Amino acid sequence: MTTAPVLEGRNLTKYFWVKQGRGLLARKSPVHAVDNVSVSLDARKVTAFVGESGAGKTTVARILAEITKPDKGTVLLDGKPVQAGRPRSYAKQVQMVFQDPFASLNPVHRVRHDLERPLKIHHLVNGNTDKAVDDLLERVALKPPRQFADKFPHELSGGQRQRVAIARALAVKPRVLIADEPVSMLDVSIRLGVLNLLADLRDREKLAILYITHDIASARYLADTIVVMYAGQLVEAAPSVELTDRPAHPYTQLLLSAAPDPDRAQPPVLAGIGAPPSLLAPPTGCRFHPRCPHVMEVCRHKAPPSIAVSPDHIAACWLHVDPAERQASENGVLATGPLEPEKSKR
Amino acid sequence: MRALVRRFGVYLLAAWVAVTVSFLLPRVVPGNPVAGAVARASQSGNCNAQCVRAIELQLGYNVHTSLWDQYTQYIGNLLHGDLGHSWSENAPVGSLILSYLPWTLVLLGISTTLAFLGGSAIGTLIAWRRGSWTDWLIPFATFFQALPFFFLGIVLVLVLGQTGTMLKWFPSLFGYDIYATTPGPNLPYIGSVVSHAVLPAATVVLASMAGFILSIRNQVITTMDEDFVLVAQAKGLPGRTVVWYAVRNALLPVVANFTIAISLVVGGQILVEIVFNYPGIGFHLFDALGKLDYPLVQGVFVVITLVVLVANLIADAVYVAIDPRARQAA
Amino acid sequence: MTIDSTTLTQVPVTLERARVLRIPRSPKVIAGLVILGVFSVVAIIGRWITPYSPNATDTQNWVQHVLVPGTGGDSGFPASYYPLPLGPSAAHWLGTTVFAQDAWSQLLASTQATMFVGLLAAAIATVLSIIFGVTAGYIGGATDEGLSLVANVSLAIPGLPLLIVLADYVPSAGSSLVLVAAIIAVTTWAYTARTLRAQTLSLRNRDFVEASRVSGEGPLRIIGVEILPNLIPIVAASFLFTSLTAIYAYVAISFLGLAGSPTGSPPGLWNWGEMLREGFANNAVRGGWWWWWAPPGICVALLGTGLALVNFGIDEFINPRLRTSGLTARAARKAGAHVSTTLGLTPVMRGAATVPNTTPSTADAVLEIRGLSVDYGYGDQAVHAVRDCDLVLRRGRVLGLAGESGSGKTTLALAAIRLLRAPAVITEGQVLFHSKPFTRDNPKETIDMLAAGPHRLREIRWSEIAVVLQSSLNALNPVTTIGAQFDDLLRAHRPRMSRDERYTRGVELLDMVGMNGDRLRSYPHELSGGMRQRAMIAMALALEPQVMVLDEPTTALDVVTQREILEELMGLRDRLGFAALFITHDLSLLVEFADDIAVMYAGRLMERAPANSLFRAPRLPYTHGLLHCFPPMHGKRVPMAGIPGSPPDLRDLPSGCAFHPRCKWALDQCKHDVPVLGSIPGPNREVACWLHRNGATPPAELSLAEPGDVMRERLSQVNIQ
Repeated sequence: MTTAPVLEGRNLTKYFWVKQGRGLLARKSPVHAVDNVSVSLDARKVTAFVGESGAGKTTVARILAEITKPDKGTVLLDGKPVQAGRPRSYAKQVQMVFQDPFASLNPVHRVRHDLERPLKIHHLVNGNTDKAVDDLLERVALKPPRQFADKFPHELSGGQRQRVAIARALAVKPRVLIADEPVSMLDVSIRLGVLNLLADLRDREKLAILYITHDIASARYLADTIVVMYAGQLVEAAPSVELTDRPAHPYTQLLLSAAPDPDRAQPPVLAGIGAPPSLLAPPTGCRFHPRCPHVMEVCRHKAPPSIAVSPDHIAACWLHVDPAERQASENGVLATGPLEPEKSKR
Repeated sequence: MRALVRRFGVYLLAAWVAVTVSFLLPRVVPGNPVAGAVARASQSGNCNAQCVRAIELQLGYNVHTSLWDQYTQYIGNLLHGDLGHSWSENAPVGSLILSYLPWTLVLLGISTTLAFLGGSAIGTLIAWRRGSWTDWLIPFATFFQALPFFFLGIVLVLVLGQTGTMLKWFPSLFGYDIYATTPGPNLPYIGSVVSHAVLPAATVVLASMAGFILSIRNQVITTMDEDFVLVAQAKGLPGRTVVWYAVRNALLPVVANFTIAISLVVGGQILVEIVFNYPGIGFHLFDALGKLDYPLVQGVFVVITLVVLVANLIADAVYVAIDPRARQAA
Repeated sequence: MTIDSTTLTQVPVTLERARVLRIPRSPKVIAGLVILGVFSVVAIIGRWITPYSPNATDTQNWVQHVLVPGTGGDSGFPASYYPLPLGPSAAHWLGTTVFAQDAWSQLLASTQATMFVGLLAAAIATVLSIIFGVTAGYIGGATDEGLSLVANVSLAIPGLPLLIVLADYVPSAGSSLVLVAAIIAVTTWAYTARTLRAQTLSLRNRDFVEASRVSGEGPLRIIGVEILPNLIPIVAASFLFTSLTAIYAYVAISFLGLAGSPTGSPPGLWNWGEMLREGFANNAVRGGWWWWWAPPGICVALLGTGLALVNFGIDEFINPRLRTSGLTARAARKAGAHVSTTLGLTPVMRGAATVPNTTPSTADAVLEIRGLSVDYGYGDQAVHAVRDCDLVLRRGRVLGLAGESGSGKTTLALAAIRLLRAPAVITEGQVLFHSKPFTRDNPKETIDMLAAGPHRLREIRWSEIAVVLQSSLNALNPVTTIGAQFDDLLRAHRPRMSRDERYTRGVELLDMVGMNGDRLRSYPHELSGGMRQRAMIAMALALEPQVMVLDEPTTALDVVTQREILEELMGLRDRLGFAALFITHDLSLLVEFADDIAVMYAGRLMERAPANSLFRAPRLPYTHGLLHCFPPMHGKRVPMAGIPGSPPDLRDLPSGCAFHPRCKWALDQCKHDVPVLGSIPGPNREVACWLHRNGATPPAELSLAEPGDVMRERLSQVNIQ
């Protein structure tokens, strides 16, 4: 990474408290939604977060958008910690697109309202608001813009709504766009259009984009870097083609083996079993160990360190730790820090 | 369980608020209700000095202890079941209410149960046969639920009551025949009680059933659109079982909102008792209002509130029992 | 009147202007508005158009005195006389009271105070509840807890008794309508506050509210501009409900004599409750003088009915499921369909069945759909969801049905087994179920699904044709255990099984889908999504059906669970030999799991082929486009275009081939003529596309060579896995 990241989250941790137990003895227990996750977004790059539902992807997105306050960790914009309480200056830099285009536009307002408000809040136009609205609609390829500005959301199709939602996010000329499953609610035939729009914005407007998805194929298509999350933690991060072609973490391998792929030459063998754990009482050690086909003794007790399996390719898995060190760490003799890349090729 | 404990807490608080309101009201309202009460009571002649003093104590007039001391004493008395002294009846309010309460509770219990069961059955039928002739029941139900309870009572008296002018089928005054029978476990008395309960009960049932019909119809229609009812049909289950699937689920929100229904029915029944001179707490509340018997009014209010709160608690318990999700979420 | 409790339990509704405009068209709402209008006019001018003063005694027509029944003589009461009230006449439309006052004038004069108190109380209560509810719901946390507690406490205290006590202690209340209204408002605001709080709470976390927060909007604007407009229907419903409650309350305390008498001191105002009180107190019931007390009571009920009718309209707006009643049944009859919710069958339009031809088109056909068309709605309102579809499901095979939302794939499948509900109606076609012999001696039996009666259908449902739906949380009855649901099923279809046998069978079935038998005791909400779907599949297999209809069975699940379940399902298919109709929007999944694939677009079947042929060599431009919408998992990343445009609106379909506006190879003919499904060269291949007709040369992309047999071999291995 040569340039400084635009937006960075360091050691983000978020617990949600839920009620447990009965009667007067009921207690609140924490759901470990996100545990010690660090992430950085660069300009002109799409970073994808991939994982199953409940893996914590959306929580990370909401922490970065300052909708949710992390319990631990900091969010840095251009290297400076962000003030709490989502100041307007932050809103101008970091914007978000939501999953459900049918829920993210207020049904009582026209498209124009959605696009005008951000412009007015941030005093971005003086005078010709209509022109600014038209420009925005054109930027998301809703043409002719006049035809769309005065429509209500229910008069638009799902793809058009999602484009309006993106236009709203773009209105403040942000530098970071957080897109939470922006295409999962759309029909298959129009998903690529929206993904291509995001790619286009990355290139044209130098946006740093966080793309949250459960669809690893679309992540591979759009993203420069893919980060895989499992049960609230990061398990693997790598350039997207590298990650899908040479997955290093058993969970990534499991995800890839399960993804629909008509091109597959061999019938797939699912690399692992079961379902993600309850985050009320996550498994000790590596959270994936109960499902892992390669599970070792050490995995049950100690959380794995993040290992660079190759430059830019990081996996949190004991398999990539040198056997001797693994042994040592299991015996508790040596505390393992982050290792050098060369040490750890399997 | 937890949910129930929580609800119980809310009800305790509600009971405390009701008690405190009835303590504070006569002491804080502008003007002096006591003077009027005492004047009127002395005027009517059946209130001696002792009784005047009782009113004054009850309403905090001419009392030289602090408000707080009066309050603690009031609460203390309540906890001992001492609701004050009724001067119009010249008897402890507590024991008076105890003698009125069975009339009200039995009538309320029977008619609410009948209204709920009948309303559920008819509401389900209308929902299930949507689009058939049964839809014609809806405008009638709408009209009936908009009828004030006591007005319906008066109409029934006119048409069916012996004090009315038309069919004269059922007695429509008092809780039993006060001339021909003596209260006690004897057959004529019991028969008289039953026949005297017919019209008041019919009034409450008719008036409150319409509301149940409409809300259960709406709930069943909403539930019938759920996938599990579709699947029950896909399973080839007999029609009865499919209906039961829908009804069982449709009842949940109705039971959950029983609070409002209970309040309406209790309020309605108070007035129905007045129409029929039925000797429950509603009628005596009316009576006490007319005689400005404040201690009795207060006592009745506190007791009615407690009855409603207990009914609510029962409804909550039933809800927890019939919804496994509530049971678990406890 | 009830505000339907659905308002509390349902997801919040949001307002769509187009739908709002439709509210007043319902006949119920019109009737309600007319009633409210009449009363409003009377309320405004009624006091000034009375033929007599409501207090004036009409000495001229005062005819005679009568003995009050039950007094005098041997009754034991001193004799008491009243003037005999006059019955309705030309001079006194509603007769007179015992005081020889004109009842009609009193009724007219009474309307104003009654409605004024009702509306004012409702207005105060509504404002209170908006402030309380929206604040509590929006701020949340401790504020919410505190405010909710206040609302719940006031809700638990019975309103009317409290009102009576309050009115009793405030003697001047009766003369001041504003004070009465305020007291009534205090006893009625809580319910609305609770409803609004619940709604605000869920709106607060709606994406559009978060989006405006993310764009830097301040809280006041969010509440005022984004949240409140969406609460309007509920506020309106609550306002009407509270108006009625308040009118009752006012009438009730007037009836009790707590609101001051017009002739008393201080003087109260004429209102309906006061009329009822005077009538009741002066023996009008015993005297049979109904004209005196009945009209005000009926007025309360009529006004209440008016308010309730308007509320119905709002209820139907808030909860769309309540709509389409009554009217549609009539419309259906007119259109020639018999609709009955009781039976749970998709209605078939009279004369829909074509010439009965019950011979199977192929020997191993098990479910055969011929020329099936399905509409939603009737007559001019009808939306043609499925048109003229042919489909053959063969024994032991998996037939994939692919299409986007609105393509009609679910409609087609569920209509074929007659599970769609009104307003869906089958307008044309034939559906045949070629069953295995029910007993050994019988020949194979063919059942005409559209002609079959409820009894016949109930027999074959689930025992021969089972269904697995997308969301198993909704497909399982939430209030009974999994075991009880197995039990209901087995009891209905296998009446001879004992309780123990049913239990054993349940355990056996759960075991088959990899679940522990203990799960029979679990409630649906205690299982994860994957587990619930497994339980649903186990249930579908309980009677060893010949056909399984799988409607997006794994769409709601994560990829890993999806694959586990599909592989299990295919394994069971190989063991048990059922045929499956697998409906999904995910074509890439079908290519892996189905034997044959049919592609639907805008209600029509557009292409049919063996899975591998369709994947390797699509013939339809739409299929070709769809296949290029799934980014590959291997190889170099290349930009892909997807399909331009959006899926069409069924209400407004393009002419000719519905796909032509999005098709890059569209011919002139495509704009005018609808292509029909027809055979083309290749194994069992059919396509509805003009590019493959009349000697047209299809583009190279649509004329790739058929894949070899080697591939098919490999594919069937995939399925066995």
